[in-house]
Amino acid sequence: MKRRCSAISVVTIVLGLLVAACAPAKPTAMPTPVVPTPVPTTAPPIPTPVPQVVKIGGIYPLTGAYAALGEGDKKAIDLAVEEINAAGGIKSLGGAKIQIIYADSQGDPKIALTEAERLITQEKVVAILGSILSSTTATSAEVAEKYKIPYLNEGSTSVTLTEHGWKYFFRATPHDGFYCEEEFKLLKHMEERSGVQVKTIGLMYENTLFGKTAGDVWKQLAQKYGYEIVVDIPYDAKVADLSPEITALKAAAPDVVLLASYTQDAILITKTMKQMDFNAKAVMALDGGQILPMYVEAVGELANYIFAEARWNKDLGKPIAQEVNKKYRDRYGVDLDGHNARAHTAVYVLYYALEQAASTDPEKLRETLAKIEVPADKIVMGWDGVKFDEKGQNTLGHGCIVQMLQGEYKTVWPLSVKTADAVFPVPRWDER
Amino acid sequence: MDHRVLAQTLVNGLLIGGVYAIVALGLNLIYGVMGIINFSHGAMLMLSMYTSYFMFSLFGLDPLVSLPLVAMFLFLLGIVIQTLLIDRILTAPTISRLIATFGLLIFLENLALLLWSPNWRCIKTAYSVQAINLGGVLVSVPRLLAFVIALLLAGVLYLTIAKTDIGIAIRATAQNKRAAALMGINVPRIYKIVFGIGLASTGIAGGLLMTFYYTFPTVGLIWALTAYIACVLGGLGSFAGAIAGGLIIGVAESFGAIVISPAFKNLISFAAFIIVLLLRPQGIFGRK
Repeated sequence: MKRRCSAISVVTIVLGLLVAACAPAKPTAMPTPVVPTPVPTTAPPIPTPVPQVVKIGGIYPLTGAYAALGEGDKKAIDLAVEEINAAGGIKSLGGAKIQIIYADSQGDPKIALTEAERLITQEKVVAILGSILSSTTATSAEVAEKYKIPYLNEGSTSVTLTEHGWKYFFRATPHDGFYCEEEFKLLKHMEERSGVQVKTIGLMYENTLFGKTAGDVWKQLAQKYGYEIVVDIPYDAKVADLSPEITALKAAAPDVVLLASYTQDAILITKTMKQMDFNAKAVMALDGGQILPMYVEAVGELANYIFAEARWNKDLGKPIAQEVNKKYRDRYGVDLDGHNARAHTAVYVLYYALEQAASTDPEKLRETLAKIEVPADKIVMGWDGVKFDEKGQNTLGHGCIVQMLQGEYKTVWPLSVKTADAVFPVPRWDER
Repeated sequence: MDHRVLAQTLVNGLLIGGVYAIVALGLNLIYGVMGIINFSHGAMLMLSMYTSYFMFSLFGLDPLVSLPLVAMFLFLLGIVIQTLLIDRILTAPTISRLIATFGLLIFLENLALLLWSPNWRCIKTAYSVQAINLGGVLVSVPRLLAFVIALLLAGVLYLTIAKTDIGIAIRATAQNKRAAALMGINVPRIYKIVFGIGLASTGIAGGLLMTFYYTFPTVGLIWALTAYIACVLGGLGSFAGAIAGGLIIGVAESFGAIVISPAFKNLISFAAFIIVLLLRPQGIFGRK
């Protein structure tokens, strides 16, 4: 009996390790160590005088664990390219058509690196679009930098990507720090509008990289915006029960709760909050499980009044977003989402740069991108436009915070594209 | 610390502990009689949760109503698995037995992934997020149900084993299967019944879980891990042990989160686990 006991204990521990090893990974929030820049070896490719076709590389995870994200982006890019070519291509280049040469990164930083090399040296692309994951963007952008080829990133949000001093790297999307700050801006706005003060904040985040990074950023921002963090709860997303966590939250009674969750834990949190009758003036989730249809379906009307950072929403109050989404839905049967709407935007940024540069010379294209100003009404994202700073970061980006109102996510932030006024403070559970 | 918070913490811990206990019961029965650690326990729990889910989505049956049906289905499944797999490996070396049930777990999880996608599915009932307010302490209705049914089930299983003919035969088989066979007990049949009963109680656990939790192909891992710990902690093969183990883990987790920090929730429950094993390696109710 004794021997059996110890055998079982060992196996139990092994199982425990298995659970730990299966912790989910967050695609867009991976800071990646970057190898030092090798010395440039090849000169940039020389463009033909009157191009018929302008080749642009597209590095995306088209197979593997992130294939669904890659496929979504590819569809949006194909749609954008088709729109541009059907409207006469790049007019300043005699109507040259855009052609995307795709390369499959498989979500692997090493493969992204070699594919970038291949696109530049063999396919002779004039620019690269890519690559969703921060980890693959870090390695492939490094190669583009080496060959002096402009790299336009649509949606990798790790803060560090624009901190390398790269000259050929441009990021259209806001980064993670920016998204967190949007929540605080919305809070300030709602305080002013309602006259209800927010003093204390509770944090609840899953305890791997995605959640912990958010937790750290929130702590800095709370200081900057003058809020006190009264409870700080990291938790395991693959958990049987979150009632101790919600009890701790309830005991601290923060005015507002900020969440960073995946899907299954988001479901559990919402249900437990209801069951334990936990009320806050607002519960705000960072881009994560709460925006997925699966979450909404699982918790039903309990989702009402929750805020979520969605990056893009199909109800966005701007005509181009509605038009493009309709085309996308007619063709693919689903709506655009926060990921592929950014890919669609990136293609247009590159198109306007080519149009303005009137050249396929990568050097000229880089100079144009560095000073380009794309107005808000030309892109599907709810941003104020696209304009890069000296680090290559778009300074006009915005988050897109939605609130669940009568069973539908309505855009409440930024105010320029809102489709509803935020309900704040939200009604208590017993008043709903 | 506020008294109400402490009372709430105790209630939370006991209720979730009751749920852990009911998940552990079937596991402990099978081990107690057959000496088999059923590593496919998590998959059985997952199958019972999906069964309960489909009873609801296809036939509109409330998970509490379908509880006996789910238990029946799992009982039959238990007999099938016992006949086709376990029977053939009973005399195999320990490691082969472990790996066989582990293989079954992997197979069933992947089959579920293929058939039902990795999506989370849950049942919305009127009571799934209801709570009874006792002087400011909230008692979750579905968990209270699970708790009460866990105690009832343990009682029924105990009485069955202690008082009925089949129970005596089961105990005889557990003590010495060769002697039992010589006394005219049909040992393979007893094993089938035990495996069936073990899975049926897992079926009841799964059905009860569906009243407040969601299911997905690897849901078993989340609950089964705690069930293994509860069994070892309380004493392998003992009904009282499964209940005690489940309750201790539930309460330790709950107080760890409130009194120390939510980040240390698992630290406290595992510390309790290690301390009990150091003092009583056979578990609280285990026999040496």
